[in-house]
Amino acid sequence: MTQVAATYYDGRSAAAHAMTVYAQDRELLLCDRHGEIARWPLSALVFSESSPDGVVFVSCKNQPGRAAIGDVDFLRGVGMRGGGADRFRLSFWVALSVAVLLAVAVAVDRLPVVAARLVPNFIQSRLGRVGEDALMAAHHRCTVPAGQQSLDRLTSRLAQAAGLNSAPGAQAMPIAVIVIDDPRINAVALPGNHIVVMRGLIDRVEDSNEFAGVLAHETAHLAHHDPMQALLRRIGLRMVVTTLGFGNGIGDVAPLAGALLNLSYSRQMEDRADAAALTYLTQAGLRSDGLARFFAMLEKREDKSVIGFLADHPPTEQRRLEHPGSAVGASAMTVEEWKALQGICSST
Amino acid sequence: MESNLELGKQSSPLFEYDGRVGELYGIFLSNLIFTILTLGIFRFWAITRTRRYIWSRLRFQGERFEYTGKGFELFLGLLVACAVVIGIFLALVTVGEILYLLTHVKAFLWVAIALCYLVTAMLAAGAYFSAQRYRLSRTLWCGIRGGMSGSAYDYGMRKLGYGLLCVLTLGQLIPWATLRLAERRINASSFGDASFHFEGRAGRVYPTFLLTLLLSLASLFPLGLLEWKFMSPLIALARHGKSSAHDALAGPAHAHAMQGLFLVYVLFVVGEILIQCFYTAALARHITGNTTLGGRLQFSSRVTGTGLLGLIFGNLLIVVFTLGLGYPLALQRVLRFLVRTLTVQGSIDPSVLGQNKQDGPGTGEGMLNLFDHGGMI
Repeated sequence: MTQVAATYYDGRSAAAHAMTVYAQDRELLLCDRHGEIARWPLSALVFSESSPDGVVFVSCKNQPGRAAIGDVDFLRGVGMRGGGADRFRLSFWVALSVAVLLAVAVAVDRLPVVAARLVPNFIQSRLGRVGEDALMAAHHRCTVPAGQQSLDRLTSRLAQAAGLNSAPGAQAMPIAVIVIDDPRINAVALPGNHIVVMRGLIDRVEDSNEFAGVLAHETAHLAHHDPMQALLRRIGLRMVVTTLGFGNGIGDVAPLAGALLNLSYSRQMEDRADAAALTYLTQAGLRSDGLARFFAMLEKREDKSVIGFLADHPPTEQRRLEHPGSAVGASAMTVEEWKALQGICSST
Repeated sequence: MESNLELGKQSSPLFEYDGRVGELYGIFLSNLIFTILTLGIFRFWAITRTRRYIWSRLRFQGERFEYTGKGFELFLGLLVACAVVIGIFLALVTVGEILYLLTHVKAFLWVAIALCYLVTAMLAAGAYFSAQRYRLSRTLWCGIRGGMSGSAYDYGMRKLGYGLLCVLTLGQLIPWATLRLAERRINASSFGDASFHFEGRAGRVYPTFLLTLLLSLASLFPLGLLEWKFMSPLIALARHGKSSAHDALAGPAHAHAMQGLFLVYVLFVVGEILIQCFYTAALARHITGNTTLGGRLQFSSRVTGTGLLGLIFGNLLIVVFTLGLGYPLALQRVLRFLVRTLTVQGSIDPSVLGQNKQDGPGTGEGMLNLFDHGGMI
């Protein structure tokens, strides 16, 4: 049993009382000249901040009194932690910090995937149209009916294979595909099952099978909700950055159209879309080596001005080797259909 | 009312303070790290840790204060405040909607929205009152705590009403309103079984107020000239028409004008704070100098306009040029300044100071944290 002298304040008046405090049997015993004043269980003790001269106010939960004790060894013996009885629980806050940061990391990673599937169709369609309008502001749409018909036929077969035409419930949304008079070799998948093909792609591919490979790849992005997911990721990140005050304020929020046209997919998304493209082509009864040949064509090009389709990280050569496809199957279009598509931008 | 006050007695410093900057930095830096890592949740515990330290370094009549508040109480206070505000909004809007559906009088919807705004303004105005109640109830001296009676809603309504009067009188009632509100807060406060008492006279601070107001208005002229200097290239450009050299010159001129606007704004805010130092000091002297506790303590303040100016200007420089990392230094300066300027006549006999009858609120400062930044301590 250890004992120490203390000054006791009873919580009824500010008067100081001389007291002797004993530590025994998991209890703190406070006694004055006449006898026992209070018994406090050690588990219910509360310690104040230590003063520069080492005096700590010790009190008991739900009790009005407090004892000023200046003996650090005694205080440690009855359960005071740290030098200053600081009730700061380091391990708890470290654990909470880690948990919060992990939760944020998981939310940033998973939330767009879940949210992309929850965005209503009409909003997705509207977003897709915003992207289309932005593209058509610079290059007009190609509308030769025979070409559009060939394109729609092929698209419909691929959508069928991707399950986009027959998907149950709200997600059944046919693909709306258009060609614009843009010389760049590219095709863009937009939210709301929109695909925009640039004339340069049709001009530069060897045949309809290469074209079908690219179209199947974009169809796969739509089936996987990749455009919506990438958009949410981009907007979400922007929101976080703005909230934390890292953005420089005025004029920092990129216009929606700009965001839509510069969606970037992860290596994983591209890889998944390449693999799915081959599956769709095979399911549609078409030969599936067009995509690999398209990649081979891109590799041979001297200038690397190809944007979008090429710009993303998986090296084209690697993508070609990983998804060679098969020469078994029908051609994507008849000679007449392919001719019609090639002439979709010819003015009448 | 001040019958047993021993006037003529030598006044002595009200508090002694022996906190150290190094220790404040230890608390500040760990608080900063955990507040960032927990995305702000730690803030309430950070405030509590800082207060525990400062209270423990302040002495009155040689006895140290103790802060018994908990971070969780502040955290819970914010959650409760959010729930109350959302609840009131939902109730008002629902009632408005029902009345509208029953009577097809669209005014009910507008009244409901207007009431939402009014309630928000009232709660925000009353937030300082309830925050002071919490802080007093968590402040202990020799085992005796402070307390506060009265209603924060009543205080909030008054503050709003006074604010309206101040607007109607073009600000001339500001000193009067400030003192009436100070009376409300101080006379509702007590420490132990002793009550604070304050009676103010606005006439005493009005001349300083008027001078401050005129000086503020006068400061607008040089600021206006500076603003004109920054804006004139842009205006000249606009006058010459859009076609000529639009792209080449408009961009820099625009940026120049924006930077100028920002600079003028910063100068205005800083200038306003510094100009007001003299009025603030006069107000502090008047309020403190006419406040007593239990008829036994007569407080007074030796704060001067220039002293306050030096404190605030120095702290602005310290905090701005260290990007906020000089905060503990600024805090230490504030505490030393307060201790240096606050004095007291008379003394309290601890054996006759009884405990406060109020239990104190279970949670604290929710409305203040919701509607105001609440400060760092």
